[in-house]
Amino acid sequence: MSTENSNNDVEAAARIARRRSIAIAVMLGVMVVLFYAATLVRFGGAIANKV
Amino acid sequence: MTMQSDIGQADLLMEPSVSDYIQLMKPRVMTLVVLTALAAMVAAPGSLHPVIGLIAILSIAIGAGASGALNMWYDADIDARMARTAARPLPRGRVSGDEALSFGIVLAAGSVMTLGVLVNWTAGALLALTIAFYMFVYTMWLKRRTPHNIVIGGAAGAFPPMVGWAAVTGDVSIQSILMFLIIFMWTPPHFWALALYRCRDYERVGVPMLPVVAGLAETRRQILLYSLFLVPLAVAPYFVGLGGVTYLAVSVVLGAIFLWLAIRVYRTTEGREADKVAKQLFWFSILYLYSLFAVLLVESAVLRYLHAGVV
Repeated sequence: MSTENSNNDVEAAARIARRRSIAIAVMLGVMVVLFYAATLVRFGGAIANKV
Repeated sequence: MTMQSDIGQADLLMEPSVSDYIQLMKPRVMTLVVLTALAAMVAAPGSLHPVIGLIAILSIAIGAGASGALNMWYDADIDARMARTAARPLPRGRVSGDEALSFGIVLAAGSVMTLGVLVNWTAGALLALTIAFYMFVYTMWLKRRTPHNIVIGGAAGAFPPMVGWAAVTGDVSIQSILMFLIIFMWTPPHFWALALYRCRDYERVGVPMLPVVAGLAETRRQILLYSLFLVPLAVAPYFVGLGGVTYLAVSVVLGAIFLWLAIRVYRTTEGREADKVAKQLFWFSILYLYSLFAVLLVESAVLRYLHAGVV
């Protein structure tokens, strides 16, 4: 019985850790996209010609 | 028996989940912060590219979340002993103090840097001031020391519209200060209404809220006084060109209801009815502030759209 409970706990903890990792990955992805978009907006088009 | 002993064993064994971290950021407070900041951004003269506007709002929201996490880290000891806060992630043992602290610091630094670098540094500096004020002035200094904790500490919750305004205009103006003052004057009656029916909680953990220190009668008097200042102040945006006729009508009608409830709180001093009226004022005060800024937001957006159509 206690082994079963402990297995459930391990599975639940692994599930939570996986969800947390996905959330962090999504957050990082969103940040990269936002910073990329903000850089484009800030510098405008044809950036190579401005250097 | 402490409230912490009611925690299920599973809570203590579990790793912190995404929802625990979201709770650390006080999402309900965040929604109000986002609404007030967004209303100020739309009402402010000038324009912002949608991408930069989105980044500004996200930064302000995350900055508010950082303040919430840092507040929960510092107040974990008293949160565990208050019914209203005992289910927060730290008292439940879902998130450790170190995790909450590092989460709050990373979010605070990240949001301020992002707002400063990608939007402008006036807004970034105001956001940094907001977080620092909430953490150091309200949470660490005033909250456990003086019954004026809410009055002065309320400034932290009042800064977001100034941050939003500064994100668009790059400066501070009379209109943004007026929005600050509305939230500043709204905070004491809002929290004191809550404290009226939760004062035993505050008393038990040693937080000197006004009802604990000065008594219920004085708190009711102060609620009425602040409401008398708040209601005309909330109408003022119409007269400085910030709100239109719709805003004027809504602020007058809701202000009258606010005052009526404050008078009822002042007069109803005995039994369950007193708690009931205080609860009504507490919940109505939330609706009141949401409505004022929602109307400001929608009206400004509509006027801007119509004006753009004419041009």
